[in-house]
Amino acid sequence: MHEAEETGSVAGGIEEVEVSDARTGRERGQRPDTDAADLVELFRIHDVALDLIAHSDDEEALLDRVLDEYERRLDELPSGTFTDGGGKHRPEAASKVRALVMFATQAAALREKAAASRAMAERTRQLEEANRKLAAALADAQTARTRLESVSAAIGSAVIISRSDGSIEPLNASGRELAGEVRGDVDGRLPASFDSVARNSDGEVSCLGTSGQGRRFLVVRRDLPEGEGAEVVLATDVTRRYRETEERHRLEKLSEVMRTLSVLSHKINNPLTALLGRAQILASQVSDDPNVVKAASVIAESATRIAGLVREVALVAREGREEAIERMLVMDPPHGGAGRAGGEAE
Amino acid sequence: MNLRIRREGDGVVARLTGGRTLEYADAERIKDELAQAFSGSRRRVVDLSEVEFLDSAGVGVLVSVFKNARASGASAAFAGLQPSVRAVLALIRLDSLFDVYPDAESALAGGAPPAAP
Repeated sequence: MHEAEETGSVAGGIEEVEVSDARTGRERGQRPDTDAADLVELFRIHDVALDLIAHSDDEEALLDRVLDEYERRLDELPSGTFTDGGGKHRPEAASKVRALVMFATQAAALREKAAASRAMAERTRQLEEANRKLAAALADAQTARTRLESVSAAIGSAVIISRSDGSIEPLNASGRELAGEVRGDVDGRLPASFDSVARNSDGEVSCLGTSGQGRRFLVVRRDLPEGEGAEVVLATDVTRRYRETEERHRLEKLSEVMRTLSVLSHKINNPLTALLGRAQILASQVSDDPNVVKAASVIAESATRIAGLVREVALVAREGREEAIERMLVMDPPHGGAGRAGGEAE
Repeated sequence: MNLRIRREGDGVVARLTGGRTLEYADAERIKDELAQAFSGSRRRVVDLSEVEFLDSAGVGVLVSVFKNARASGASAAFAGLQPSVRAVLALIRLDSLFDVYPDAESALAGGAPPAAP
């Protein structure tokens, strides 16, 4: 290799070794002194360091650069540097060996840093992938929520989420209306009467609105899967239908009463007519006994009064005057209705 | 000095045989043969168990293997270092850069290289 060159005499100085390749001096049979060689090496290292700094955002490129420098220094080493004297290198190779040590140390540090950067890049990639999946999941959730809101809005029934702590979340306009209208929601809870419907079952309940008007709801309670005790409550306002049903029942009952009265008046009228006729005959035949005449007269007057009442009842029954009938008959008040507050299930 | 090549999966073990010293005389040839032997492999192991001495050219061979592996996205490992070879690598701090294993098998298996003694 360069062994013959290394034996040349020292002639150099700083001016002679200002050229970038110190070997140039050796090729002329001259040998730079150790201080000058060290100085040249120092400047070269300085240039390399500046280059490293310029590319400090890419550890891999830096490592390649350092390894290139390392190889150059190896090429410049005198032959036998490591093999002569059991591994001891010659003094004139000291600056090169120091450079090798420096570059190897830098290369090891850069390799470690590059590995850390790769690990960081991998973590970043995984994080970005997770973020992409999360964003997609959020978009899906938003789509599902929008669809749910659309469906909920299209449902006439109130849709409300009821949580295990009793708080509620209306999901549609009807739900918000119910939460704002029905008494019992002042603390953001469902009306107490809703509790009369067991979970996962259906039932009808009555309760009072804030206006004091009785309202009737068909309540459907269903547990939410994985809802941690939460349930969805569908409340359909059936007040109008309920009142119509109640009115129909009342009218049917009234109609039955009228029919009964009509039949009854007819059936009473016949024997009453017979009774009145016989009383008149009796009075004319035993006119000499004043007691009998008086008794026959009382019977006739009473029968006449009864006949008048029967005619009146028959007239009312025909005309359907329910108020008059209610006055005449002892009847239960109409079942249920607006005045029936308080909420028992049926 | 010659090479004995052994392939296992995507790994290749190149054992330097037939001489005690890896030096200038063989360096370029060995460098080329190693490059050819390791071509395409993901795990590259240089078995130095028969090498007793390295000169600067020999060190250059090892550095060349390390650089080529990096350029190919492969890994390079050095196994079976004799004390004198280990001393040279320690002298120029290559022991802190290279992955050094006690033998070719553990080098081929990979994993974290053991700490230098």
